Amino acid sequence: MLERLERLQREIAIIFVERFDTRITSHDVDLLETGLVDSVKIVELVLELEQRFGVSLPFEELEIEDFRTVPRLAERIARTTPAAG
Amino acid sequence: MKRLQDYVSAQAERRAEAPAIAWKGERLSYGALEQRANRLARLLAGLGAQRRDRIALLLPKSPLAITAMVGTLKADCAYTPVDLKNPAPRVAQILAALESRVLLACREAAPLVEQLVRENGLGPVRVAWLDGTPPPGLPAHASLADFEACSADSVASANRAGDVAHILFTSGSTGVPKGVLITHANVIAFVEWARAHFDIQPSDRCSGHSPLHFDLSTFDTYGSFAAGAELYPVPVELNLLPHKLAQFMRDAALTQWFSVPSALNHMAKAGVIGEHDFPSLRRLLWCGEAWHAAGLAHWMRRLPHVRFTNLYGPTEATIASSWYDVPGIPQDETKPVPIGRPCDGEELLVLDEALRPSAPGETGDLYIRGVGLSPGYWRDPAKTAAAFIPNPFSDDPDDRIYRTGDLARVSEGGEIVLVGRADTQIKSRGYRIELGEIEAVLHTLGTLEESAVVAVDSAGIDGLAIACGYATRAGVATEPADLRALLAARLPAYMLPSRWRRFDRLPLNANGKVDRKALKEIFAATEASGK
Repeated sequence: MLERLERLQREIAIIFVERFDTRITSHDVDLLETGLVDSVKIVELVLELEQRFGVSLPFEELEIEDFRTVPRLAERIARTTPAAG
Repeated sequence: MKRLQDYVSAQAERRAEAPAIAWKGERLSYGALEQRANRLARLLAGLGAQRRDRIALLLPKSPLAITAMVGTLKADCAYTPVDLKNPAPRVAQILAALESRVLLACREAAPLVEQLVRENGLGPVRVAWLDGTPPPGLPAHASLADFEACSADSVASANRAGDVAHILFTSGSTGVPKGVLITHANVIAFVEWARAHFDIQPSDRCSGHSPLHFDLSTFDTYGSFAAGAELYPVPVELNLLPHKLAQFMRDAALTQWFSVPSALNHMAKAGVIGEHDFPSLRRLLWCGEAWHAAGLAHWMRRLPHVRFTNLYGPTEATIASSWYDVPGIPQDETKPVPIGRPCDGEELLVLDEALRPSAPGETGDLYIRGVGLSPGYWRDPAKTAAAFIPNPFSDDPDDRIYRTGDLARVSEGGEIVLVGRADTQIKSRGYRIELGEIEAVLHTLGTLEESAVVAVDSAGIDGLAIACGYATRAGVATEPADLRALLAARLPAYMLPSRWRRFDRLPLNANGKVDRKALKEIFAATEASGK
């Protein structure tokens, strides 16, 4: 499980570089406070997460805190993805 | 009313128990707001603040921040709300320009203050921490205990209607933000017009969607206080998830909504607005940028019980200078929504290059004259003189018109319609961005041979994407992520380019200058191919 979370975190960090030209320097970086995730990027980010991880993330089931840090985001996806992945 | 703080005092005198602000399940009454603002005014005086001082507010949107605004006015000072998300060097520029004697802060601002102290030092400024004990190791001249120890008795303010109430900073094309001076009289003129035009009542519940460093929030706050209505500041993080924003509107049973169109588009695209949703809502107002007719029609079809009004005006003319009540659901979604007619005391002029009125239907430069005009930019007579020019139709040297930079025409029905910009300023989610400011910062990085910034249409919610073309110095490898990180240390996140492209040489025009049109076309082609 821990290994899977770490892999998800790495992949999410790659999305930020590839889609938003942003290197997340630490797991503690507050994505919301720093504006790295905003109302425009969140739409693109959710679409990208859905495609890359083959999960469904309906907006109405998401919480703002899910987007606070990369580890939180990884946990949110891990809860959605079939554990066999 | 003579001054903005008098709105609060008048309500506190007549209706002390009536709710002024609702925030996260709690309510602050007009009586309590008045008392806390009185305390704050005394705290400021005790810290040495004098009449016409500028007080920087490093406070996130909250009842405390709004109390600090009113208290600052009671202390005869002007305030500047500072966006805590701004990078420290930009905040340092603003603080240096203001020469604030006092800075009001709270714990959330501690990391920013820490960085300011580390990088620039704060100089002689005195810092009051309003929400508890001061964070260790940082300058602290007052705490929550000092604030609460001040008397809540009424304060005899000496300020006048013509005094500056606040200074709002907007993007400046030379790389330094410009401070727009706004007087009590400027705000009161618009608020009084709006109160009558929209019939705002004590029973109203008004949204406070805009950040406090935006001039839209000036109407949220004082429009609500003038009527004795209840203000519902919208927690900023709700903007991320449209269904949460819609739920907030429902739970608060808001009767008035005022925001930039992007928040409304976001909700429309997410499909969170139901038929006859928000049954308490009476009016929906937007400002800050054009709302395309398709987004407007989406809302109007679902909310037949709501009045929809487009407000228009730059910060320099205070909140809004013109209005347009949309008469019915737009049939032609390709036609722009007019900005309409001037508010009371305002005049909108469409002039040609020789400052003669443009013929009806002809495009010209849009100028504004009237009661909302700012005295100018803080300590910048050159920029003030360039933007606020003598009225060519008057002999009075004090009669000025403001050049908005917007291009407009007058329709057959006498309504004014915007058609574009005369410069490279853009609007993104209501944020006013000078592309030149981004370029100016890029040039100071010293890592690029050349660079240019253009805005391109994108399919996103935003409508516009900021795109940067650049050529690197020989032997210097520079990735977009590096450039973005360097820019992010100097500019707010909403000003950072989201599209990057490396060139060996940027396209040039016949004059040997960067050909922005060609650059724009290159980015537009990439955009269209979906890469």
